Amino acid sequence: MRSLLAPLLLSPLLLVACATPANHYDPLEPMNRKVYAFNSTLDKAVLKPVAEGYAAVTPRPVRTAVGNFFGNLSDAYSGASNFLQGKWRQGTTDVGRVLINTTLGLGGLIDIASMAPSLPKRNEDFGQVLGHWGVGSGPYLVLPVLGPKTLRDSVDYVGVYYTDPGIHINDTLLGYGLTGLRLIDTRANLLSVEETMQAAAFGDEYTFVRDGYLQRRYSLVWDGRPPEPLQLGEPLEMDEEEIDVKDLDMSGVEKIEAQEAKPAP
Amino acid sequence: MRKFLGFILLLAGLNVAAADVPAPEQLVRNTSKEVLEVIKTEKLSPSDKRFRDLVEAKVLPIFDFNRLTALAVGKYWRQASPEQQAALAREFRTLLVRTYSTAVGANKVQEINVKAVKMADADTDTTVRTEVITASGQPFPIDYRLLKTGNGWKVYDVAVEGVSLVTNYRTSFNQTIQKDGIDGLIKALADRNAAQPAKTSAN
Repeated sequence: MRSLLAPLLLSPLLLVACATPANHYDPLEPMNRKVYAFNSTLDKAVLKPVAEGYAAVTPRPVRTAVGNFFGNLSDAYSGASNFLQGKWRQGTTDVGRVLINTTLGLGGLIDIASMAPSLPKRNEDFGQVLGHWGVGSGPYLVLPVLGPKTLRDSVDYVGVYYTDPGIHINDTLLGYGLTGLRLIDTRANLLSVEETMQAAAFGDEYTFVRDGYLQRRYSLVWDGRPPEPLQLGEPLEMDEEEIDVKDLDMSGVEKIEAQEAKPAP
Repeated sequence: MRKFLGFILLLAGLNVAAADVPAPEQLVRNTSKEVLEVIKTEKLSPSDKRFRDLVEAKVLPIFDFNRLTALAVGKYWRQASPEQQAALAREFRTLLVRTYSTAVGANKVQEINVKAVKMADADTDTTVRTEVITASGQPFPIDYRLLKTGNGWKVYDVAVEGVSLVTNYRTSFNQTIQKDGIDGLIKALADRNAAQPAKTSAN
């Protein structure tokens, strides 16, 4: 898995170099779609059943402890990312969380820090650091096994790599075990999200997931307050104007509704 | 007398403070509170008919589904006849209500924090930010975009964790319209809505 990462990260770079320049945000769509289909098959066959089995068999307190343990590691990563963005206050609370949870929380198994309203869990990563300093997202990527990313956000794997307990442990078997457990924990946490996504999905699943992912990342980079909405879909043509919610003509449809609301004479 | 005057002034001040909460914030606040109370006290599950009645009565009236649909359909909205527009809004509404019910069922919502809105009296367009706290997992933001219409303030877009519904549906709606036309999109949405109950009961 680990030796796989480097070529995985490099291959999209090479492909970007030969992709035709387009102002569209998904120039690698043909390749991405193939990887997406591969990932879906793999997920249905292996990851999802394993995650469901894990969620069914493991008692909730144990699952919570496992989630907290990896959450503690991601707090450390979030702290580093906050400092790299110059967000000192947020970074300090992340460090405070790690200190409290590692000691009082028995090595991160209990998330005591979240009980304090002044120590909320934050969600920062290296992709957001680059975004904060003005690096554009680059093309959308779907990576094998790992799923949706953008070129910029794939720097995230550097952070994930260093906070992976597996690499700091000399025992190979235990190391792989922890890496695998983290993957299963992540997937199990997505089960409820997936249920909602399935209810919401319409049309092409690939574009639905892509547009959702890109919007979410964009929002995270701006800490939920982007200066303008992210432009997705087809680029506007020369004579087209951005649709303004205030200028929409609703008279026709409202007349129909009024007729329908009235009982038939 | 002076004391009394001070008291009156204080009361007046309190009144001003209460009236100062902008109307859109008050609307989202009240609706969230009402829905949450019913979910918590009656332990309704989203598959109950009573839950759907609650959504119909409390949640739907604060939305402007025509405008929401128009934004999701994008540039093709103007090409659609009023009948087509009404059919699109109806089907999209059904899809979103089902999604909302599933989301409420999948996440055990414990609390909804509505953040204070800063806006000028003359503004006709604003965003109300909320934070949803669930029994499991991290709190997540839901933002409501509201417009002042002839019938008061109405929600025309919802962003969950920064993902705008209107934007997210626009791409797939446009793809379907380009392939099968506006009637094709109406039919695809109707088929999707008809297929959904079978899917959830199978799970």
